[in-house]
Amino acid sequence: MKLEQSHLERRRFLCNMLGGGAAALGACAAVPLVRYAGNFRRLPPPDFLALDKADYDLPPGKSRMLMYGTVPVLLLRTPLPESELRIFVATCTHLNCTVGYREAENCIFCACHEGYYDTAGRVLSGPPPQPLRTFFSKFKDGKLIIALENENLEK
Amino acid sequence: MKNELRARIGAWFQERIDFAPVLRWMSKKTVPSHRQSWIYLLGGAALFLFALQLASGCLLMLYYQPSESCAHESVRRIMLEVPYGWLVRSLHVWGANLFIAVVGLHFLSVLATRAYRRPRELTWVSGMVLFLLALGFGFSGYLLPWNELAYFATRVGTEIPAIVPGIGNLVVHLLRGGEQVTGDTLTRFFAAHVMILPLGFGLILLGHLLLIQVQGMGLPLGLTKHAVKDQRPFFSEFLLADACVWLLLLGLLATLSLFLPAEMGIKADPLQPAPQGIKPEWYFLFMFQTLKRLPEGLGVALLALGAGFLLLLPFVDRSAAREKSDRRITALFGVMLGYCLVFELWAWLAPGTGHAREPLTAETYDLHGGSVSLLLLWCVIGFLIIYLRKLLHQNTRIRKLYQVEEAAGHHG
Repeated sequence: MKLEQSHLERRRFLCNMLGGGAAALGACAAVPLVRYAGNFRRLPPPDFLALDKADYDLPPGKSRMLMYGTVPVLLLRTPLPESELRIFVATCTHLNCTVGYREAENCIFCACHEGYYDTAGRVLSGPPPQPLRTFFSKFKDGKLIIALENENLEK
Repeated sequence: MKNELRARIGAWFQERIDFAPVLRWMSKKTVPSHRQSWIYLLGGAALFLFALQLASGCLLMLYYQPSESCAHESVRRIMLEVPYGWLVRSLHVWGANLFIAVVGLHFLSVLATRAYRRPRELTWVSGMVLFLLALGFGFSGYLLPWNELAYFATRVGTEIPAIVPGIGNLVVHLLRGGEQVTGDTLTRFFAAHVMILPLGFGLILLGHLLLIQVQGMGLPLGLTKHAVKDQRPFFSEFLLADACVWLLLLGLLATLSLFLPAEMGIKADPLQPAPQGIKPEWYFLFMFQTLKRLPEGLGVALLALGAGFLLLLPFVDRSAAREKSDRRITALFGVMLGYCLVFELWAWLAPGTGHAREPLTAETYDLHGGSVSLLLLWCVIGFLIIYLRKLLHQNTRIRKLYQVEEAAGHHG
């Protein structure tokens, strides 16, 4: 049999309205769902970190790891005669592995894909595309202040 | 253009999978329409709530840490720090309560209409097992936040099998994963709650649903064929009514979660004495009161007898299979229901201790903003229900037109 066109049109209209309503319901659910599942909230890294003398006082040619919020930090005192304190973000610029100081070779090494950096953070060999990111630092009242942004040192 | 693309995609799949038998089955699946046909909505409502529990449970597992030292802290974090964690957990907690309630109504409706009678014995038995597993879900999930009330409820609950002579102590040991309720109990309850029970539940549910597809909907006892006004197609009509109920349940859950968010309680401390007036969840109250007020052995025996009777009910009530209502069975139902209600109320009215209510200070929890969002949600739900009903009526009208045409065709 042939249905009247009006029946089919009405049915199509109803289905469209329901589709729109379902989309609205989906949107209602999507906002909390995405924020929950993604754990999206404002958790900025700390503005700065103040290190006691015991934390940063390293003998020449030695290194130490510590955490800056969720960022691993490599503190390194270069061997004599320079004996300079250098502070790096200890994640490889290649694929985010944590790097470490190799005392014997006097270099920073990433074991994941054999990336080598020198003690200034410059790439010596391997896949890393960029030098290691360094922290800004200054001494204040016997403490070492480190920060990812230079202007935060003044806070 | 749009239709052409749709047709091409359809043809691509049709070439690989023959949908014709599926579509034929779908169009033939019907639900009888009579005065009590609203009870057919209860099973679907339970199924929807179960799916919702599965979804919210998966989400909770993103942050929950099942260990003695971290469980309570991780639940606190979900409630207070994770964006909308309070909403997800409250939906899960309220969803569990509502699920048990709806399953209970489903159970009562089948009992009242004697729908367990031949040939639906297997559907009934599988349904009873599902009911018991649902209680297991409630019991195992209750411990996971590792708070004081849950800890003691679990200590009491897992002690019950010890009354059974012989294997009782072994069962207790197996339930607890040791002599006492410890972190080992928590991890095995977690395993049961998220893996063992869902697997078992899922398999039996599959059987339960398959039986319903094969046998179709049962009619209430004593209902003659004349009282069945119509056979409504499931997918084009009944499912739309189902969806309305599901939307109402969703709105109810969101409302409860906003105004009465789930509690965290105090972290369990095995060194602290049990708090005064400790009570389990409402669906265990009548069992709890039975064990508390009756002599130990008698209480357990009574509960086991009741469960056994219900499990084997289709084989006990032989007159229902002959489409007759047995007065004695009706009386027995009355006694059992009355007993449960009295003991339930008795335990419920007794002064008890609840979780200390603390204000929810989560960043994403804002009662005013939340109320506006909730209002918006109810508007969307209302809109959807209006149009679902309109579509249902339209589909019925079109079907009736076809039926009239067909009847005329036969005569002519």
